[in-house]
Order: sequence, then structure tokens, then C-alpha cells
Amino acid sequence: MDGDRESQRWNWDCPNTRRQLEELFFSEQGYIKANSEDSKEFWVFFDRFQRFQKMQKRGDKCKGRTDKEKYSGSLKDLPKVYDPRYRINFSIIQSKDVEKSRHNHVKEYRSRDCRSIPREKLEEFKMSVLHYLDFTQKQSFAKLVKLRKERSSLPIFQYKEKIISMVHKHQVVVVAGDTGCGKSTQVPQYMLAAGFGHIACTQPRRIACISLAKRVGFESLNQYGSKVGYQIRFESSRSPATKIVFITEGLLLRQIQRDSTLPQYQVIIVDEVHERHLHSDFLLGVLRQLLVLRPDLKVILMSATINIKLFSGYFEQAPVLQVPGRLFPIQVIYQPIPQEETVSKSEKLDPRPYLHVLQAIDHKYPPDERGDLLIFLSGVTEISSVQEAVQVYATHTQRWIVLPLHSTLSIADQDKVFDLAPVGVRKCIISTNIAETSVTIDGVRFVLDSGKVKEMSFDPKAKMQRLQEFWISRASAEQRKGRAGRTGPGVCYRLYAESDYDAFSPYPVPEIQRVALDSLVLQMKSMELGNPRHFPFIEQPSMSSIETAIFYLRDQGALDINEELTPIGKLLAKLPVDVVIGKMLILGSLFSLVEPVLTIASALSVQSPILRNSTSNPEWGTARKPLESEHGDPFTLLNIFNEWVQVKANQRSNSRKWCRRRGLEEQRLYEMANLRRQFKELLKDHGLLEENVAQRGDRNSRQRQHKERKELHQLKRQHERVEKRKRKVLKLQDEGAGSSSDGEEQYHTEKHRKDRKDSIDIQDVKFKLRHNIHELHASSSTGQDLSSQEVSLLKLIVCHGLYPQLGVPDSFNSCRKDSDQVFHTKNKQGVVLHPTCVFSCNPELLQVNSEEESAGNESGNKGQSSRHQIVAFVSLLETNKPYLVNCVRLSALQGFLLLARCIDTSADCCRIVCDKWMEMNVDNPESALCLITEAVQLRVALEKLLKSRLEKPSRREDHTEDDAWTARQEAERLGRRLVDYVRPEAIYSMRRLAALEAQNLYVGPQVLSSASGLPGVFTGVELKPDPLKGGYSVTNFLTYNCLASETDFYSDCLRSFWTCPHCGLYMPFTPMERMSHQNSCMVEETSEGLGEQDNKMTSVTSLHRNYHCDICQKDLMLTPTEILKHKRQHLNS
Amino acid sequence: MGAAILPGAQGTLGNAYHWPREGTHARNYVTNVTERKHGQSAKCVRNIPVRMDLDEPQPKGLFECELCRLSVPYTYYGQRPPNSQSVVLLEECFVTKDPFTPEKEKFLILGSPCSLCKKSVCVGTECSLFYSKRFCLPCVTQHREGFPPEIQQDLDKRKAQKKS
Repeated sequence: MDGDRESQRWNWDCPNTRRQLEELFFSEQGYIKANSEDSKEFWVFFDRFQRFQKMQKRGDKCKGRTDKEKYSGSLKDLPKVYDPRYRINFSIIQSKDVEKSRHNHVKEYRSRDCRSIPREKLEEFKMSVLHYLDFTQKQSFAKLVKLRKERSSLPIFQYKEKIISMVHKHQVVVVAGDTGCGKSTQVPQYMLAAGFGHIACTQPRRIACISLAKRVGFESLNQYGSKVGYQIRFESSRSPATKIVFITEGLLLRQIQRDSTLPQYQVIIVDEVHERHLHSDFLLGVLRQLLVLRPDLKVILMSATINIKLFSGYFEQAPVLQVPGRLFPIQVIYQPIPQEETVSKSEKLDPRPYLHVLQAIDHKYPPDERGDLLIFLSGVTEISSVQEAVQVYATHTQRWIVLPLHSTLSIADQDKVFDLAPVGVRKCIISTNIAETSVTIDGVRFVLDSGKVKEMSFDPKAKMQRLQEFWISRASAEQRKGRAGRTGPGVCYRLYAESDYDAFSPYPVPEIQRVALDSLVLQMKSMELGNPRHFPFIEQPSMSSIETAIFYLRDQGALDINEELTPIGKLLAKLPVDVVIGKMLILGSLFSLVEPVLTIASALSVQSPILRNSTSNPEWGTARKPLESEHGDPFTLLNIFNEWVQVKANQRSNSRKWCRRRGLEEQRLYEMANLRRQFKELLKDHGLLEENVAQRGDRNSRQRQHKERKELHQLKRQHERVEKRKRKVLKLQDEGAGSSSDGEEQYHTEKHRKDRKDSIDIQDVKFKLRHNIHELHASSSTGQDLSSQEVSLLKLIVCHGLYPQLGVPDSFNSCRKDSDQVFHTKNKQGVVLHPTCVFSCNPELLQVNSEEESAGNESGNKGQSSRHQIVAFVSLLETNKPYLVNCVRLSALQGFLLLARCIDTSADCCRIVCDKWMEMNVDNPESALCLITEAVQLRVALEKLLKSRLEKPSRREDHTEDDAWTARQEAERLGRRLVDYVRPEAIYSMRRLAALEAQNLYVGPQVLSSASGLPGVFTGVELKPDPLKGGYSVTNFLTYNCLASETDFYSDCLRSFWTCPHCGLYMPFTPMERMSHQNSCMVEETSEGLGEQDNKMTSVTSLHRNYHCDICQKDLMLTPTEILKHKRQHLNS
Repeated sequence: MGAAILPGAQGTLGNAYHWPREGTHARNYVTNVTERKHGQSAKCVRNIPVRMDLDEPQPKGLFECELCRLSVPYTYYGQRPPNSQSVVLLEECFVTKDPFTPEKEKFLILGSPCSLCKKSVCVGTECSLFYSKRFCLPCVTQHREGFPPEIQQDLDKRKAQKKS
């Protein structure tokens, strides 16, 4: 009776009781752990279970037991009386405490706690735990069965055996199936089931690698194991136990580059071959050659049902297996935009046809029928103009949530398209072609296809990328349509006529025919694939495109005359970046400016972190202002990165917030950090970077670091457990706060403040695990206080990499509006600066200042200055206008003299033409000559240094400390000279040559009797008359006196008195003689072996002899030809 | 063994006498005793090359339900699943690590041999039921009368559900 009363008073909800029970049952070793997710779930279950039991009891009482008789007991060993407990096939073992309290050993340890819980309550609780465990077992098992059912209901499942037998019989098999047939997830698993152990499946996109690995891991019940992994740049989940790896095409190619037979794989699956990416086309070519060397290797090509014959034919009629897709019927409605509406040929897209479709959907389909709308437009500007109009309609009707989707959006914004709309509201996703293949959104029922796409094309002549709008192909149109039928029957509205559709080209243009092939050709060379012109691509790129690439690589010094890789080329081929950026890295390592160069190189290799979209916030610009560099965008990026690392290193500050305030996409900065590290390792591997002796620090700090890392690891694991991003329900936007990101942020902070507090910034954790933040911090702070000398050297390095991508400001820029500054490159005139460029807000940085100009006016020549600027740019991108992207400024004359491939001068060197394009007229012949001689010396020294650095064996042990030290000294000296050199002093004017002028630039070949007898200006370099231009070619980039001009035909023979600053020799020289002397004088000086007297003697070559001129009464050291010239001079005068 | 599971007359739910209790053993798992030989009734499809990966238990073979043909690799057969010290199974089961949670001590029971016909069947309600012992559904229908009415009702309910 007592117990009864007690149990009536008993309250399961009492927190104290619960705590006690948890202590008793949920031990550290127990199946349910205290304070775990599991225990929380248990209590939820517990409450439900209690209610359920109460209900059952009541039911039992009413019903009574009537059917007892039927129970025959024919089965042996079954319990006499039924109890649901017998239906559970396991039991719980308890800790001592529980056992004791259950057996009423009241006075034992902890007895006071347990006494308050009566025995039958403990029993009851134990039963609940048991039922909970049984419930979780059932849950997991049901999940497993469902998974298996789903797999076997995929269209491809029926072909499993067929595929396996085909792969066993043939080396290459083509599997063609449309979206939703399950080929990407299933075929790798089938191969594993068929007994293949090492399977690689390539994907064109990194995201796909991660998500497929996740999905396949889940399906093969290895979600938390490493049987299925992925490998993308900087990230890998691969372990020795990995059997299936999803890998990007580029990375697989790199692996082939390392070991051409690819021994680590038995099966290679190339997915999405129909998308015809540059890398996948190349990969197919490489694999085709590999098949001969690896007869045991199996290759499976997977494509949509597009152009299958092409792939099959490429691999000697490989067998094809076609799998039907799983698409629901889709109704196609052609709604061409009427002519009169398109007539308004303003730049902006007319949103009305799009609005009509939204209205039609609202009209036709009741709001409780779910289904979202996906609009395909060609570009970001189109998206924002449609978004604007649709948003007004959406706010009015309260039936739509408008979401843009394109690759320049922040990742958080991109993720919003996966969230759910509230009941009665549809999502209207306005997207670029990113949603055609890369992003798959479920729940789309309506597709609205503009039929347009903006595609990057490459103009090999101007070396310019062009983003142009095209009609899509029929294949893309079908792909877009298919997006409406993934989850149910759908509708596809096409804003073009059926006849238009029929006129579309069948397939999109393969990437290989649209892009620059520099990196591809370089990679082909380093993989020793022979002549790139004859490589059997699945479809040949244009020959001119290959030629351009080869020419460019030769021009950049990556290939030699015989098109073999040079040492630089070999290194560049290993760097997974553009040749331009590779060159910067190499040079940076020469001048011990590695840290900032690494940052700049990585910054220029990823998408810009600076966000710029329709809702871009003016406050961002203000917040970024202090980070802007007047030297140019790469330096701004350098500042951003350095500052960000500082923020990261500071324990208390939140880098995510810091980025948000400044309109920066933090993901890109993480990418930069990763890339930077990869570059650094590559440089170390090639002996271009000294392994800095690890500053291990004292024991304490090491311990602290160890502890920090441990904590980070823990956080990461914790995150992985609860990772699943839950789909949120979107909120209808209010009128005011609709598009403003401020309102958005507020909404987030208010609503999710609690979540946010709990949630860890996993990117931050990963970052800190991957990088040594202290080291990075140290190197970034050295980057922050670069001296002005270092900055200008850095600028030269960047520009050296970027050459020949140079632009000059138009001479009338000072009269133009800030935003209308015009620039010209050699091949493209009238380009403008990209709006994010620092110079587009501060154009005065590129203009010759007015004071100086007036000084120029005094000398009677307009446009004379010492401060002309040019810009080097990373890319030239044409969208609605041609834009220069990522610019650095540089002193014009010095820049050209140091970088130009082809410098031609007049006899007095005052007139200089660079790359047959820019003409510069220097005021003072003295300084002109000075500039040219110094430039020649610097360039030769630089080349020598670079060569010695690259050609030395990569084993650094071979070199003594001394060698390294002298090399460093040499580099430092050269660096100083370079910096001194670019200091503006000479006054000059600058203009572009007109086409006609450029054609008639040279005097042409001259018959010079004296040709053979000329002294070498440089030791070891023969000075030859140039057979085409006329004049003399001094080095491979400098031709002297070849410019046609009416005025000074004989000026090359004119001598003027000059004192050599090195040896003090004072005598008249022709410009040529002077250069020659200066150079040899320098050589002697550095060798330091000879006295001054000898120096003077050896400064002239052996052909020189003593000559006494009777007319000017002088003793001269001259060659025979010079003697003749000298005589002629007197005749003339 | 089956007799031992019989509970006390009052229907209180206690452990069978032979069940391991906390503290009476030194945490060594009963592996060899109840270990089933490969291919005895579960089909062992092929030998998966053993690579020592400390975190991942290697599959011992493939469990296949002889009724629904569900096949899943199992990592343990017996009554004391590894890493799960506080749970004991009341029948010898094919067990795998629960694939839906990262915690390595969580296991998932896949199936077990029917106590009557010895066929390996999965724990799915369409293939078998457990009532102090495992019975495959064909055996249950055969011996329908031998089960308590609660079980029979359940079976009827399920049948009706299936039809509708």
C-alpha cells in the first residue's frame, strides 16, 4: 500500500529524479552516454512511452482478456504469460549501483541518492531504456532497408549485372543515362561489388566530389568510415582503406603526370564526359594512350544521352549501355517574346515576359499545390533586373520568395535556394546556367528558360577572354527543361519559338575550343605526350589556338627553340597555376620576397574575395578603404589577406564577422591560405625556398600548441557528428527590409543567436588545423611592413609575371570623368578599368600630375614628364565592355625597358620604341643612354641569376653555405639596383604608334662594310647588324639604331665626350662604344682582379688599336671601322 | 539454452541467471565461443583483403536474409557485440556497426537464424519476429496457435495493413 501511494505521488518529470536516473544508467561506458544527443532523444522517447503505456493500461482494463484459450502452448520454451518485454532480443547490463539499489541494499554507497527511487520505478525506467534501444534498432534497420529499396528502385539497378559483365569483357565501356538514373552513385558501387578494389571516379566539379562521396558512403553504410572518399585540391578524405575515391579531373591528371601508368587504380570512371570540359577531354586522350600500357585497367565513361557515338567511336567502338532516366513528363510551352517588345534595344533586359509567366502560374495553379520556379538567365545583370521586377510582384502577392543564384554570390546566399518556402508560397529562383548542371534543386516544378547563356570565349589574338551572350544548344535546353521533372510532372516555359529551338546547335561548344591552351600545352609537354599539334584529341582544338599557346610559352621562356621544356617550364608545369603566376613565384623566391609573393600569387589564382552584387552595400567600400593599396589591386588583396590573418590570430576576434563587415567572402580567403601553402611546399620541393629551421619554441609554448590542436580536433569531430545542415523555412520578405542585407543580418542574429552561439565556425577550425596560425601570422606581419623599396621590387616581380599584359592610359584621360578612364593594350584599344579596381576610384594615381606637366610645357613639349604610368593587368575580360581586371601600376619608361621583348632605339637612344607599339622620347640623350645601358645590364643579370637558380640540382646539400650566401648577396644587390632603376628621373613623352608608323618603323637592312668588325657590346655576345630591321642587334631584345628617321642619319657615328663613372676614362664615344665600354668596365670591376690601368686597357676589345687623329689631335683606341667612321666624321663637319 | 531464458513465475523481468553481470568478467568479449564459421548459413561472398584500419571493423562476411534477400556485410556474430559493454543479446545475431552514427559502440542487429528452421532471416517485420526466440514468418504462420494472442493479433493487423 505504501508503495502504491508513493508511486501515485511519483513524478517522472522531477529534474532531480531525472538527474539521478541519468547518473545511474547513462554512464561513460553505457550504451547511452550522459549529456549526449542520445540522452536528449531518450527523454523525448521516454515521455511518449509513458503516455503510450498509460493509454494501453486503460485499454487493457476495458477489454479484458477473452482470447486466452486460443493460446495452445504448442511451441516449447515460450513464456507462459505474454509480456512485450519478450519481444526484445537483448537486455541491458547495469552498473553495480543500479543492481544494488534494485536489490534494496539501501545503506550502501550512494544509497541516499537511490533511496528516493523505489525499486519498481527503477524497473520501469529500465524497461523504458530497453524499449528505447529497441526503438533505435528498429529505426536504424528501417533506414537501412529503405536505403536498399531506394537503390534497387533506381533505373540503373536493372543493368547492374549487365554493366559488370560488360566491364569484365571490355576495357572501355560507355554508360549513357539521363539525370536521375543513378549512374554516378551506383556504378562505382557496382564495381566494388564486382571485386575491383581501387576505383577512381572523376568529376568536373569539386562540390560534386564531396557530395557524391558523402552519398555513396552513406549508401554503402560507410558514412563514418573511409571506404569511400574524395580528393580535391587541398582537401582529401582518403585513407589507405579507401576503395572508391571521387576526384576532380584536374587532380587525376596531376596524378598521371606524377606516374604515367597510374598504378594506384584498377578502374577509372570518367563521369559527365558529355559536358566536354577542357580537363575531361584531355583526360580521355591521355587514358586512350594509357590503355595500351595498362591492359588490366578498366575505363568507364559516363555521359548523358548526348552524342554517345562520339565517345564510343573515340575508343574503338566501345560498347554502349543506355539507361533510361527517371524524369516525370514535362509540358513544354513556347512563349517567344513578341518582336515589338524586344525593339526597346536598351541595354537592360525587359523583365515583363518573365513576370507574365509568374502571373500565369499564379492564375493556373492553386497555391496549395507545391512546386517552385527556376528561371534561367544569361548573367548577373540580367538576374538583378528580373529580380527587381519580380520582387515587386512578390511583395504585392505574398506568394513568392525571390532568390538569385550565381557563382559570385556568397556561399551562405547560395545555400538559401535549398531552404523551404512556407506553405502557399513558391520559391522563384533566378539563376545563371549554374543550376543547369552544378546545382540541383529539388522541388522545382516550373522552369522558365530564356534560351540564353553567357559563355567565356577566348580571343587568341588579343589574348582576351570574352564573356558573350549566345543562344544555348539543344542539349542545354533539354537539360534545363529536365530540371522541372525531377520530383513530379512539370512545366517548362521557353521564351523562344520552336523554330528557334530547332535552329540551335545540337551541342554546346566544347571548352577546349573556347579557352587559352597555355597550361594544357605545358602540361602535355611535361607529360611527354609529344607534339601537342598531333595529340589525338576527341575533337581537335583549332590549330591557331595551339600555336598561340606554344608561341606564348616560348615567349615566356617555358619552352626553348625546339619546343622542349626549359628548367622554368618544368617548374611551371608542376605549379597548378597560370604560367603568369608561376613566374611571379619563381622570381619572388629569388629576391627573398617569398611571403608577399606567395600571397599575391594565390590571391590572383582564386576568385576575388571582394563581393560585388546588386545589393552591394556602400558601407563595405568604406570599411575596405584602409586596406586599399595605391599600387594596385594585387596589393590590396595582399593587405586584405594579411589583415585577415591578423584577425584570425587574435583569439578573441571573429574573422567571419570581420569579413561580413567588409563585404568579403571568407571562403576565398581560406582558399587563398590553402593555395599559398601548396605554393610554398612546391617551392620548397624545388629548392627555391630555404627550409626555415623550425622555431620550435620553448616547451611551454609547444605544450600549449599541442593542447590547442587537440581542442581543435575535438571541435572538428564534434561538428562532424551534428553536421547535417537542416533546411530552414524561408520567411516572406517584408516590403522594406526585403532585399537589404542589413535586415537580413538582423533577422539572422535575432532568430539564430542561440544557434550561432552553439555552432562552431568549422571553416575556422579546419583552417587552424591545417595551418600554423602563428607562423602565418608572423609572415603576414612581415608582409604588412614592407619598405617602399620592397614594395617597388614586389611590383616589378608582379609585372614581370604579367608582361605582356600591359595597358597604357589614354592621353586625354585627365579630361575625362573618373569612371570613363580609357586604356589601350597593344592589341586592344579602348578598354576600361574594372569597377572594383583601385584606380577606377582614384584615377589621379595614373595621371601625370599637373605641376609636372607645366614643367614639361616650359621645355616646349607637351606631355613631357618623368611620371608616366602604365598598368599591368591580370586579365582582360570583355562583358558589355572590355575590362582590365586586377591592375598594378608601374613607371612607364622603366617598366617597358625592363620588360619589353623588343626594344628599338634611334642612334642617340632618345627615341625608344617598345614592342613596336609604344614610342618614348627622352629629353636628354645622356639619361636615355644611361637608362638603356642599365636596363640591359639588369636584364642580363636577372636572367643569369634565374638560370643559375633553376639549373642547380634541387639537392641543396650539394651547395655549400658560402655559395648560397653569395647567391643571396648577388640577388640582394640586383634587387637594390632594380629598385633604384625604377625611380623616376628622366623626363620623356610617350605615345602609341599609329598602325602605319609601326609598319614603317625600321630603316631596313643596310649594307655595312664594317659589319663584321664591330666590337661586341657584351663579352661573349657578337654584335650583329640586324638583317631585317637594320641597325645592330645588341641583345635578343635590344636593337640599336634601327629606327627610320629623317633627322639624324649619322648620329650613331657622333661622338660626345663622356667620363666613365667606373674607371674615370674621359673621351668621346659613340653611344655604341659607350655601352660597350660600360659593360666591359662593369665586368672587370666585379672580377676585381685587375688594376685600374689594366682595366682601362681591357675595357676595349682586341680589335682596338691606338689611333692618333691628326684633325682633332687626339689619341684614341679604335677599331679599324671606327677609325674609318671617325675620319668620315671630320669630312662631314 | 532456450529454457534458460524463462523468467520467474510472477512475470517480473529479471535477467537469466547465466547473463553476464557487471564486474563478474574482465571485459573480454565472447568472440570465439559463439563465433560462427564463415559460410555456415550466412553466405560469405568473398574474402575482403584485410587491411588493418584501427577505426573500422572489418566485415566478417555477408549476411543475407534468406527470405527478402537483403544482404549487408556483418562485422560480428554472437551475443556480445564488441564495444558495447552494457548490452547483451538474447540470441546469436549477425551484427554490424550502426552505420548511421559515428559512435563506434553503437551496433545494429541485422538478423539471426530462425530458432525452428535455422534459416538466416533479417529482423524486418516482414521476415521474422522475436518472442523470446527468433521465428521466421513462415514458421510463425505454421505454428500460429503456439503464440500468445497479442502476437497473433499483431500478425493479423500487419496482414490487413499489407492488403490495404
